[in-house]
Amino acid sequence: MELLHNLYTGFTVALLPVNLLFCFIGVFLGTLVGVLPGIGPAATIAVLLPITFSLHPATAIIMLAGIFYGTQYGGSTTSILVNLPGEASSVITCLDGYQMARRGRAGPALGISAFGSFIGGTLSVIGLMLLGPLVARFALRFGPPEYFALMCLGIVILTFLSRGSMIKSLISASLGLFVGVIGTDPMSGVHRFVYGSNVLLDGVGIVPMVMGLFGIAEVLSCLEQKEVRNLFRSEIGRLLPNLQDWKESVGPMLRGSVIGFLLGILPGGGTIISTFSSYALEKRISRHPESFGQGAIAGVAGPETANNAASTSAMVPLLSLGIPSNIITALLLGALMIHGITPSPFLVTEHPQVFWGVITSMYIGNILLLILNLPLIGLWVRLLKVPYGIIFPLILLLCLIGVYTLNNNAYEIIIMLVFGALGYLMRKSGFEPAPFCFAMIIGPMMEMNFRQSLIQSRGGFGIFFKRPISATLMGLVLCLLLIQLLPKIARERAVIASDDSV
Amino acid sequence: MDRTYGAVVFCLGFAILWQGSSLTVGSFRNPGSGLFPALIAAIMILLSLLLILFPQRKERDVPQVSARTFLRISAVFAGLLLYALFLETLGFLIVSFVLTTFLFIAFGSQKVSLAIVKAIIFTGLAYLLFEVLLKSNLPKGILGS
Repeated sequence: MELLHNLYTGFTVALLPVNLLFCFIGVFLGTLVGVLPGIGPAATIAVLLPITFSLHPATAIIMLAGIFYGTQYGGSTTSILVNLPGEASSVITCLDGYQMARRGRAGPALGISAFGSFIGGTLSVIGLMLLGPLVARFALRFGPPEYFALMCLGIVILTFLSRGSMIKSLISASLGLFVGVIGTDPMSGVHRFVYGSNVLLDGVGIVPMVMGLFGIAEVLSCLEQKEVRNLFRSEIGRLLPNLQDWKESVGPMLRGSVIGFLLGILPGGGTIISTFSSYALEKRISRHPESFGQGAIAGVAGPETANNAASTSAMVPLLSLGIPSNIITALLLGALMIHGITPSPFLVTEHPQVFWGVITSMYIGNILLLILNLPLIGLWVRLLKVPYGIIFPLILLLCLIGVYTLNNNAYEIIIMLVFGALGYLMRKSGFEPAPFCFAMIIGPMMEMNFRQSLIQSRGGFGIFFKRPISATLMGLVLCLLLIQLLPKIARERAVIASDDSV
Repeated sequence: MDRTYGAVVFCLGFAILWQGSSLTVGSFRNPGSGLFPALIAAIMILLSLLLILFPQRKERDVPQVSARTFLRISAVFAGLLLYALFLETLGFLIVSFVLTTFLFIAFGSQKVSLAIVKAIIFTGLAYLLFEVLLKSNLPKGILGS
């Protein structure tokens, strides 16, 4: 009964006209940036963050979350039609999706990925609804050491899953932690690494950092490539998959939902790895593994379901623990804090409208996305024909103006450009920007919990290893770091990582 | 290459230690504001040593950038920087128009006249969105009274 009551609370929030409108705007924009390569959900959410200041917190998060799961729908369209992933999480869809399109089955490929996304998203919302409050209740036992350990685990998993050298990813993360330190120390009020700058007193802004690292840098690196797009010219045909397609897809979809849901919850885990896991699993258990890569519909259905399930379940740690599990949820955390809501296990009890409103809006968002992505698919295909020469100046201008309007301060633009240059150089030198960004956002929280733990234990580091929950988490951290030293696993990880750059 | 990157990170770690030396580190019992940065710097130094000792054997083939492309990227970046520097003195409309014209020429090899027309449309739309719709109070610069 409690659940019904909570659902009722949620739907009364989610069905408010203003929230419906912003949910629609969110998923619409999400599909848009999902379709367009070169700009991802992180940069989009960063651009729109200032606009949400005037909105109710629930409305703001409903829209921003919509962008996130919306991109998972849109990303597949480009993969299937152009063989160019719109988002990193739809890289794997290129393998079989594009092959299907080449065999004149673009329609069913697009159809099954929309349906798969819908099923994955919806099943995952149900999971989130059931699991979220339980996790929150469990997390009430968490103290500073547990939070610190959990955040360490998040960073280590993220670096573990990044492509390329893990040492480089760890360096990238520690750089991010350092940049997070800049500004006024919240515990003592001391200015750290500020050098008399007023802009830096409040710390380096998350918005200029994300826009620089993922907006500007992305456009700069796209400047290197010549525009090669073999847009699929033949007819898309009927979108609805036939009975045979459904038979082959139901299993992958259900398994993909479970994989995505579980991997999405992991701190640092997420959408990209869930697609690879789902694809690998389907290929392994398939009766025709040789058909994978030749246009097997299971190779589209599984991963496309998994990435949506993961993008939804990534909300579990954010809403119930107050800890982000990836960059996007870290940005959502920033958005909540701007509205004066500190995400914590108390969110469910203190702000039920936000908690349940956001969750129920995801049911509505998924239905809207299904409508946007099936009947309106032609619109997005036409959008793909807009040349980069138009899209890139537009992205750059939006970033410039968006970051300026944060505080009406031109220095914010300079900060964004510094991160743009940094992001470009990092991409060129094989350092992943994602761990940097994630570490910078959660850095201040980590430091706070670290220092509180030490005060609590009177200076003993044993506190992280004596309490059962934090000891388990710390153990996992050490395991992941040590695993790197075992050559066999390191090699297998390298294979996954090189697959990543398909 | 990895060794060079390692050396850079190594120096960065020491720079953080040096610049942070004025902050009170405190003790583990009563951690001060300098403790966490010092620990991060220590981790960075450790990781950079690992990178120097065990560089990746196979370099990931990063596509080489030709001098021409590099010039293009630098030009675009410089354009963005100039935008930031002149935004408040010249005003939003002028700098946005100049920048978008430049970008259209830099990104596509179009005719200048076409780029100017597009830039006017873009600037106008951006003005409508941010100034009229979102009331962002963009800098008027020399056009303002």
